[in-house]
This record gives sequence, structure tokens and C-alpha cells, in this order.
Amino acid sequence: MAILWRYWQLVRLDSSGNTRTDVISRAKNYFEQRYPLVEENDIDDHAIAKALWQVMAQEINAFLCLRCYISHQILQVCIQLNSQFGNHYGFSLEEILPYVLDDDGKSDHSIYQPLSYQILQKFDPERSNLSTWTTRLVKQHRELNAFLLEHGVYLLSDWAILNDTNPKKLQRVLSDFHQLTKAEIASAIALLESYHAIYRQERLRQRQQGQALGQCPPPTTAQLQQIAQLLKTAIAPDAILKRLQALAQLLRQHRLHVRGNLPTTSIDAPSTKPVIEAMAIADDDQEVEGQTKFLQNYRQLMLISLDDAFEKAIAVRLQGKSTKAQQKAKIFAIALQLFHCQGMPMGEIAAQVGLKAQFEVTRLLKLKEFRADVRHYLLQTLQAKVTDLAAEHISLDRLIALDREISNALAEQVDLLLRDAETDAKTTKSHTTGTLFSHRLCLHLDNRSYPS
Amino acid sequence: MICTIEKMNALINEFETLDNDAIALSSSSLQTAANLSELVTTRSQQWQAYFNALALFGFEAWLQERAPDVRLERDNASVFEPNQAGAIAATYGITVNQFRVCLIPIDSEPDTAISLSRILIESVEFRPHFYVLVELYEEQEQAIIKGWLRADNLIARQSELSLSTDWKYDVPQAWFDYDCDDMLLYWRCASPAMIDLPSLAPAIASDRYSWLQLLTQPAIDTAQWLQEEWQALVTDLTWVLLPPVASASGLRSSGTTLNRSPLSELETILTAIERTGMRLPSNARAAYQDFELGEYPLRLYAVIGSEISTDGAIAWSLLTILGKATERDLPADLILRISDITGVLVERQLEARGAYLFAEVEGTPEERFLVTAALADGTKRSLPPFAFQAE
Repeated sequence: MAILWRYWQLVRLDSSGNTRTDVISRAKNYFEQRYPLVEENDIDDHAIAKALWQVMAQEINAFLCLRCYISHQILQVCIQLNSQFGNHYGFSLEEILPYVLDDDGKSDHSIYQPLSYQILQKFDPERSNLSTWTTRLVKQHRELNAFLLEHGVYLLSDWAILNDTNPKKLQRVLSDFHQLTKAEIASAIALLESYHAIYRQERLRQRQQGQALGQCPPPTTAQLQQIAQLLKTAIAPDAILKRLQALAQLLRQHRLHVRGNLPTTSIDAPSTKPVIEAMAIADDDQEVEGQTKFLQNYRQLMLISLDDAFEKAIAVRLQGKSTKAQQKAKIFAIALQLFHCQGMPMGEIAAQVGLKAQFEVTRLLKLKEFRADVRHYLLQTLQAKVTDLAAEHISLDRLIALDREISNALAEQVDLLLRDAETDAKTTKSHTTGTLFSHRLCLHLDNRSYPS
Repeated sequence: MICTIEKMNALINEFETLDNDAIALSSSSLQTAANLSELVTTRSQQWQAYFNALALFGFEAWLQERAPDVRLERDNASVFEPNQAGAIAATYGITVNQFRVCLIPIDSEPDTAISLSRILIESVEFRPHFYVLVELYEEQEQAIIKGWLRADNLIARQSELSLSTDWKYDVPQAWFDYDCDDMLLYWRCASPAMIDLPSLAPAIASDRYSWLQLLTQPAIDTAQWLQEEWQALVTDLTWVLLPPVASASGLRSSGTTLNRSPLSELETILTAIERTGMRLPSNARAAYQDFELGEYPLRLYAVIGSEISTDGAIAWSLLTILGKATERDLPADLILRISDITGVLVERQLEARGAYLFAEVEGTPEERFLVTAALADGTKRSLPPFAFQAE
């Protein structure tokens, strides 16, 4: 079923970057003349697109109709991309549209070629329908992909998938997942190996020259010919390309499957119980008890050493002489204070320190890593003071147990009375997050001004 | 709708997202890695060398960011040795706060198992304290330090693993730990001496040269000789397969040979060898190849046979005979050596005016043998390892 007006309404960006829809009357007239009697549910898009595509070289208005149609599809893909990732990864629809929605409906495109031109040039109605084809080319758009990657969203190209797959894995995927025959698998492996020999070599050569490469481009005709030569076959380059794409598609299906179902474990596989878990069971109860006592004894020492640990963990994050690093350090110190001392949510912190999205604050603060570093530095200080704990003496299991205990101790809620007393005495700021860790950290931050 | 929602979702689903821990690979490290790979003479190993180097540079960048207080020593990293750089999927020879660390580059598709070359588990020299998985996104120029496994914990459970025919162990992914903080804790607060790595039995040869040859050269599958899989042999032009050699010496042509055809030469030698009491398996097949050692043209015959014992186990044997390929006499200090991963199994030195050397070994299908011809001055040449991968 078709929505016919899409063939004469063009979605485009105006000078201020907003989308607008123009009715292209030439396209409308042409379309209505050509299909005077067509009803919306009479005919499918594929048939229309195919018919228009066949005459577009001669009839500029048929070409225009197709460009209109494509503009809607491009918009749809962008909307979809944005709704799926934009919010969380910090980009907007307005930012991605200019990369791909670049057809202004004019006929003269000597300076640049809109994406719709390329889409139509490479379109083959026998092999796919225009909407799927458009989606595919939008997804593979190099600059769009480069932009998305900067925001942590990416699409592996067919060529990267093939580069990353070794014959052994291909064999497994094709036999276990796709259940292909031995002969099919053998020929797929031969194809992959020939592709590797040619394509990887060229990729390496370009890397050696230090070129900025970005997304892997499709193999060139010359490369496809070389691949055919290695395969000792007379198959045309075009057909080799199609086979490689089909192979990549099989691998991609498997990839989607495994990424969607994690973790996968076969029954025959050796026991998959994590080593750490297995270790924990072997732990001697008495020893654990002894450790608890130990920490009780050294609680005071731990608290005293905490300041040094904060100092070191923060210093490590403030280092770096570049302007960029300095800038980051400054934001880090502020965000750390806002989070731990004022209990401000990440989203608000982002606005406060001038970051676009919440995930950027998460990335900046890396709370879990920060806590781990503090514990590790704390342990190092304890090790310097207590011979028993020194690196040369302490068993690995005991070290882990000790780390967990310190973690628990730092996560304890600070005694309210104590906290209030200290807060009143030292500062009027209220420390809203109540763990020992946050409490001590804020005292530390109050006494220091970062970055120094 | 132009495109159904499900269809669109399926297309969009192909997009993936990087987690927060991804490390950007700098353009200079990508270039350096590619340059290192160019030094690798075995072309088929170049891409692996490139990936191994990327794993190192990604790991280094991660440490600089995550734990700049930890000291990485990487001058002796395998990626700087062209003959080791791409030999196996690993970067070894680096230490972090004196812990030996082995980096395993992996691709971004979750797999149930991580393939580890046996050298990384069984050789004292190569075995690290920590195996660290480095997930690489070459196209996206990103790396993620994915997980780690302490070698002592791996070795404690080694009996649960089995060696595959390509000489790798498939270690379940679940054995790895995916929280890197504990790994840092060890590096910061523990000492390597506290990691108890059991000594190995049998002792693995410390001869790095043999090890690398055995592990990295594609092995000749001699089982195919017995099955007369000519197809496979045609692609490997270095070996010339001979017609079956009759086992009973009586069936052979008499010792007096007018033409020095390889077959008749071999039969003469075999007749002589059998007089010493050695018996050839009834299915024995032989092949030979000529090569040069220094300035000497040599010929090596390899005679393969197999036997199935009553319990169904397969034993195979390799008899090698090293002689001259032309009229030129053999060098007086010629040595023939057969080794496996445990070290040298047999070594024979030429006796005065000897015309050939021979040595025999027997093995199971998991074993591989490396045959080396050497001179006293250290000149040596190894042929691709012999394997027997029975169906």
C-alpha cells in the first residue's frame, strides 16, 4: 500500500536547519498524469518505484518523484535512529539530518551530489525495494557514521565483519548456526581467505601511510578481480562483491543473535562457574573471621589513611597538561563535589558543568573506578604500615577479602549524630549523601580547592 | 508506511553502542601497529601481528588513563619481534608492576570460548601471571579491556580443557573475570611471587626456536599421505609422494641400483635399516623433499605409518632419513634432530663417511614433530612440523 503524496512532497532542511515539506508541483502533475486512476491501496510502492526508476534517465520528473519518495524514507531512518539512541548518547535529530537529508529539489547539482542521487544510481529494483535500499545507504553513510561513532554508536560495515572473522569461526557459524553443507562451507572459507589476502593487505598499507580511514569502504573492482584470481575463478567482480556481502550478512545474523542472547553456554562445555566464585567456596571461614577482627583493629588507621588515598586518586585524575585535560580536570573536581556532597543527580550535574548529556557525566566521574582506586591506594598505605599486609606477604585471596571489607566499611552509613556534630562544627554545607565514603570525601574536598 | 516498523527496527538494530570503557586507538598507534606488521615476513601473519600490536597499544592507553601509577614494561613485547609478532593470537613479553601479562586480542562478537595457543599455558617461558582480553574494533579504532584470568586459576582447571587439533585450548569465557578493578588491585597491592604457578611436567623445552616452529608453521597432515589424498598434496608442492614401499625387503628390487631414482634409493636405505631390526608399519607411505642447508643440497625422506591398537587408540610413526640430494658429499658435522614441545627427542650425528642419517619417533594424533637439519656452527633448517590428524 502506498501513500502517494510522498512522490511529490519533498522533505528538506531550510536555511535554519528545520525540516519542511515542499509540494513539488512538477512532480505532482507528472505523477497524476502518469497514474491518473491509481488508488492508494491499488498499487505497491515497489512497482511504482520500479516504473519510475526505469524512465528516470529520460524523464526528469520521474527522477524528481523518486527523490521526494527517498526524502521521506531518509527522515524516517533518522527519526528512528534518534529515538533509539539520541537521548542516551547525546545527539539530536537536527544534528544528524544534515548528513543525509541534503536534497533541495533543485536540478543543478554540479557542486555536490545529494545522497538521493547515489541511492538511485546504485539502485537495482530486481534486488531490493527502494525503501530498504535507502535505509541501507543511510545507515552506511560515512560521515553520518563518523558522527555517530563520536557519540558511541556505530555500525560495523560488512568489510569490518569479514576482516574480523577467521576461517575457524566462519566454519563454526556456517555449520552450527546456519547449517550449511560441507561444500558450501568450504567455498565460503576459500572466498573469505582470498578476501583476507587482498583486502586486509590494502587496509594495512593505508594504515602504514597514516591515512584517516574511518569506515571500511567496499572492495574496489581491482581488488575483486584479484580475489577472483586467487580463487582461480572467472566470476565477475560484481558477483564476487555480492557473494562477499551475502557472507557478511550471514555473519551479521549470527552476531545479532549472540548479542541478543547472552551468555550462551553449551552443555558439553567445561564447567563455566567463574573462577572467583569457585575460590570463594574454598575460602576458610576462620580466616575470614580473622580478617574482620583485623579491620576492626585497624579501622582508625584506615580512616586516617583515607585522606591520602583521596588525594592520590584525585591527583591522578587531574593530571595532564593539555588545555583539554585541564578543562576536563576542572569539570571533574566540580562534578565530584556536586555528586558526593550535594547529592545532585547526574542529569543536573551535566547542565551545571556544561556537558550535553548525562552519560558524559557518568563517563567523567567513573564512580566505580574512583572508589576502587581509593580503596587500592588506601590498601597501599596500610601495607606500608603493617608488615603483615605487605605485598610480599599477603595472599591474593586475603587481599581480595580485605578489599571487600574496606568497600563495605566505606559504604556504611555514617552515624547521624557524629555527622551532624562534625558538619555543624566545620561547615554549614549539608552532606546529603550519607555513606562514610561520601562523608569523608566531602570533608577532604572542603579542605582542598581543586584543581590546584 | 514506507517501510514497516519491524523492518526498520531490524535495520536499526544492526547499530551497536560502545560502552563507557572503550579506549580510542590513536592514529599514531594504528600506524605504528601497521608498520610493525610490515616487518613480518610471513604474509599470512601480518594481520595477526597488526591486531597483536593494537592490543598492546590499546592496553597501554587504557593503563595511562585508568591506572597511570602502574608501571608497564613493554620493551620486550613480542610485537617488536617480527618472527613472533603475528605467530599466535597474543602479545606476550610485557610486565605490569612486574607481573607477566599476556594480552589476547579478541573480536567484538561474544563467544563462548577464548582460543589460547597451548604455548601460552604449557611453556614456562611464555606463561604469564595474567591473561587479559582486549576487544578490538579496528574499523571504529577502539579497544576495550574486556576481562582477565589469573594463570594459576586457569592451570588449576586445565584438566577440564582439551587440546584441539590446531593446538589451542578453548577456555570458556565464563572463566574470565570481567571486572578489571580486582586485576588492578593485584597489580597495585600484591607481589608476583604470591601467584603460585605449578612447575610443568613434562618440562617444556626452553628452545624458543623449536617452539615457534612447532606452533606457528602450518603442519603437514601426514594422515593424508596414507589416505592418498592427492588433492591436498598437489597444493603442497614441496613434498613428493612416492609409491608404496613394500614392507618385506624381499619384495624390493635388489640392492644394486643402476638409476638413482628416489624410490630405489629409499628402498636400498630401508633394506639396510630393516637389517638393524626396525620394522615398518604395513601401511607405510613415504615422501621426500630436497632443500639446502647452507651450501649443501640435502634430501629428506619421511616415512609415515600408523597402527591402531586393540583399544582403538591410534599411534603413528615418523621415520626420517637425511641424505644428499646431489653427488656432493654430506658435511661431516651434519646433525638430524627431531623435537616435540617437550624438547629434543632424537639427535643423530653423521659418522665418518656416512651416506645418510636416520631417526624415528612415534606419537599420538595430538603430537607434532619438528625435523631439523643442523651443522655444528649453528646453521639449521627446520621443515614445517609433521602432524597426523586422523579423521
